Amino acid sequence: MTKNTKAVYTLNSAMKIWLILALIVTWLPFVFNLPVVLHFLIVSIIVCQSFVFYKKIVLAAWIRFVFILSVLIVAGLFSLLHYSVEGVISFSLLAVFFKIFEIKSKKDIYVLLMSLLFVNSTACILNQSLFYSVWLIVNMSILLSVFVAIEHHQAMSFHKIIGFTVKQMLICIPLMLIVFLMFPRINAFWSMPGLSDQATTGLSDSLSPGSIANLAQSNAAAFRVTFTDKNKKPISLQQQPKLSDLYWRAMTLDYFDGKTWSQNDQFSEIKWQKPKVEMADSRYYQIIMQPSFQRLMLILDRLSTNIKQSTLMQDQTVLANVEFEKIKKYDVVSSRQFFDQVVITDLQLELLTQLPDSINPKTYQFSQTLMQDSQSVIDYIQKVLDHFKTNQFYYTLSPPTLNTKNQIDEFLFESKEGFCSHYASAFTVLMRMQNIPSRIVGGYLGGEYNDLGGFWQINQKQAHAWVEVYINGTWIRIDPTASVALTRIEQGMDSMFEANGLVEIIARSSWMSAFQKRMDAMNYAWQNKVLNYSANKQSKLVQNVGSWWNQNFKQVLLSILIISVLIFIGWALRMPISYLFLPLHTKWVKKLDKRLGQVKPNQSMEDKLILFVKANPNKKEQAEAFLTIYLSWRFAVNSNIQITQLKQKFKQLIST
Amino acid sequence: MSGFINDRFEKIVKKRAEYSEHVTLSHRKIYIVPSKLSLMLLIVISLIVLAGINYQNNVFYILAFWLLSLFIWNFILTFFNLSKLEVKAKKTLNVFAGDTAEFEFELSRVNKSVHGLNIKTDEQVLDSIFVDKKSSKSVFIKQKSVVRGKMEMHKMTFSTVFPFGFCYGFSYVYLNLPAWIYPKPVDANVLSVNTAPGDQQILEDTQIIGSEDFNQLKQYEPGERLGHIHWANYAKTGELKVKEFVDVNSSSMWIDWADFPMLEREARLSHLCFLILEAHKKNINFGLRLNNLEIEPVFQVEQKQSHLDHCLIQLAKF
Repeated sequence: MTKNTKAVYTLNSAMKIWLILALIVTWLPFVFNLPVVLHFLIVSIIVCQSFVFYKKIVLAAWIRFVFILSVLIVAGLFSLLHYSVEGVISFSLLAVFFKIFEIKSKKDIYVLLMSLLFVNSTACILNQSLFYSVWLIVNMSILLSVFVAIEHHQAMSFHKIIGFTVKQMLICIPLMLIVFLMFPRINAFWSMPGLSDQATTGLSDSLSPGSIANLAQSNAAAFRVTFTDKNKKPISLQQQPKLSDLYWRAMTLDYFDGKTWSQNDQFSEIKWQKPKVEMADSRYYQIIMQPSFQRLMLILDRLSTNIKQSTLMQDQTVLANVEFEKIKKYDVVSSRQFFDQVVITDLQLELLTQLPDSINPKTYQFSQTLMQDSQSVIDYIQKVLDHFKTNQFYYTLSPPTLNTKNQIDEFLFESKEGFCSHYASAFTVLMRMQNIPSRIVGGYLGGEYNDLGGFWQINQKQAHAWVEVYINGTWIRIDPTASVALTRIEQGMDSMFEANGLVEIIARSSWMSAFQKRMDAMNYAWQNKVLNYSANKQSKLVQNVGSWWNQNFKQVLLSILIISVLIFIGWALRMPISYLFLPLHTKWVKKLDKRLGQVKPNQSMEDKLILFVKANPNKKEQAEAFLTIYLSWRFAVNSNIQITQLKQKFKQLIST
Repeated sequence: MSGFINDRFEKIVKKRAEYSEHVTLSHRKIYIVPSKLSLMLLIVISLIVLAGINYQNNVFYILAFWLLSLFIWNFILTFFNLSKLEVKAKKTLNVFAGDTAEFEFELSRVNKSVHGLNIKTDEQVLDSIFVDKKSSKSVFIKQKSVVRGKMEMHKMTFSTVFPFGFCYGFSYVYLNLPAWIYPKPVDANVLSVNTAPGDQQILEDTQIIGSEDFNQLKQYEPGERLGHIHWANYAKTGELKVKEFVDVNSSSMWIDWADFPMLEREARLSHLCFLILEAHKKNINFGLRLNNLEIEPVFQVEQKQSHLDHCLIQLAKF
């Protein structure tokens, strides 16, 4: 409809500010995720263009050439190193930002803004937390403000434009929600490049306790759990499990080379077998995983119902079929009793008692003497645990490194300081030296219960290692760390250490932890309700709405009918507000009729007054005074006549 | 085909349009269509949805559908930016045929300002008009005249892309505000058939300034009569001004349609127009006779301009 004039388009100062602002806000969400080289380039683009705008310099052709060359080089490096979504995003970000050098018409601004809208939305691949998503939405409203500013920056001030856009965005929320809830959820058309694995967090697939001098403490959430009853209804605080029962299994480590525990590849997938009876101690829970970039799934004890899109391994751990690249939810039913009566083959027996040859002689000596004193295997285990308890072993997150070939000897008889991995490792070695099948289990212990959201949050720092021992056809869980640091098991990680440093003290203060709890609860709701809204939930919602509709459609239709009739009447009459004083009018008419001694319906106030004046000629002035005020009170939309004034006039008229 | 559709559309629009001195834009006259920019927006939305499907990521969906609902809401916002806008005819600048006439009208709206209004006619485009809710705004539209007579205002297109530019809202306004186009003054170089040659002579006399009636104050120039200096004014302002006097010319001439039968209609009107202007310029009292219509000469100085306008409008209407 509008014709673009080919005249040279000059940006005014307001639009320059708007455009630079648009670039900066679009760039900011990427700051934490993309490589430094990219940020260097983007900042130089923005600075360069600011100079062009404010110093009115013309950018030399060679500078643009250098820019484009550097982008090509960066893009080339990315595609050579790894084909990941960060590479794609970086490249498109730069390509879009270059458009700022080419603003020659209004159309160019629109193309730039539209591309920025798209690039801004791609940031949600990198992070989907509530905070980040809200940030992207705020950015979107700033970009949309620029659309308003292009045409109307002269009539509206900066903050007015932003305020206007935000208001319109808020008005659109209901419509957006309807479309969001009802849009059919389709499976992916083709696979997209995923995130590069530099972001990997979580559990490592090997354990070398001797080489770690300081265990990093990360407060990042690993996953969140809601315990439910059989019918997926959340359970109350009293029914929540005990902290010391929450051993979240992720993987087992069964091969030891003297330094490092790792997974033996021969342990493979097993077929899922449906349990014959449902166990009385079954636990039902939903887990929302944070992106871990691993396939490990966390479960308590043993599965008693299969999980979709996952594989059950021989060691009773579960692997998802694809890595957790984004927040994902799964339901688990598990039972403690399933550890009973497991048969292991000879090959497995051999693997589960594997030890490197001829190292740790002192430990071997120690285990032999201990075994000779013991009546049974159980007794032996108890004696080992007692040894940890009574011989001044310490739990610490910064143990001395173990440098000799015989690391277990060094730990047991010299340093005696370590964290869960040290104790699990030493304990397993002591078991295997007496040919007791055993393995280290890696996972998380405990969690923090959030009473606002009714869920457990398990952070990375709650990572833990413990041991499983095979006795009399049953796997038994033993946590050697408990012998050394019982509080770690019963009260969680934080209780182990004194708060030191200002940050820690603040972080553990009550209002801070209350705030943290609130934030966690909001994030949990966001992940649970929004990020995990799927085709499944959609069909459930439609069903619920449908059944509600079937039950209530008569009432709904009736109320819609009544409301629309009321609206129509209101619209058709379009009465002035004063019309609401209709009773007063009726009262006056009745009084006048009484005076005149005749009742004529459907007569206007004017007609009545004419008759009245005819009957009482001396009242002509009062009648006129009353009528003028009456008419403007009743029919003028913006009348500011007081009702008392009118009443007074009527009294004067009617008085004899 | 598109021509046919355009014609049909034009017909519908004309039927719904209202030809009046006071036009209020309402839902019957306002048309909202998606703009070219909306195509770009829809492409961006589909790309975001596509990314959402392929990454199975609900945040993409939220952003895309928020944009989509804003696009839909944009239609309503654009409508309300035009709705209830009042256009009131004010006055015209009448001109001689071939000159550019000017129409003045007033835009106003109670309770709500109008943003980024564009007004387009065949000859002129006015961009980004802002009408404040507190006051009305005068708008001038120029239009070139061709022939003598009544000139109607062309169709005006009121349009807006407020607020985001995703929708184009427009309305056609036919305002009842005609301008009178006077005949072009042309000296036909002919003599009147039935008047004394003296009448013609009057036009050639240039001496008008006299001594009887006070006309105006003008700057003093050395050599002027001291008796004419306005001393009161000198005392007040310190400026020397002289009073200018004119003789009240009680004699007058008639400019008559019937005097020039040798000229055809339009040429005769052009000649009459020329005579009227000459007489006015030289401060000669004149009357105008057009068949049955007779305009008496006026002698008061302050009435002369309106007398001239009156005569010229009669020529335009004739």
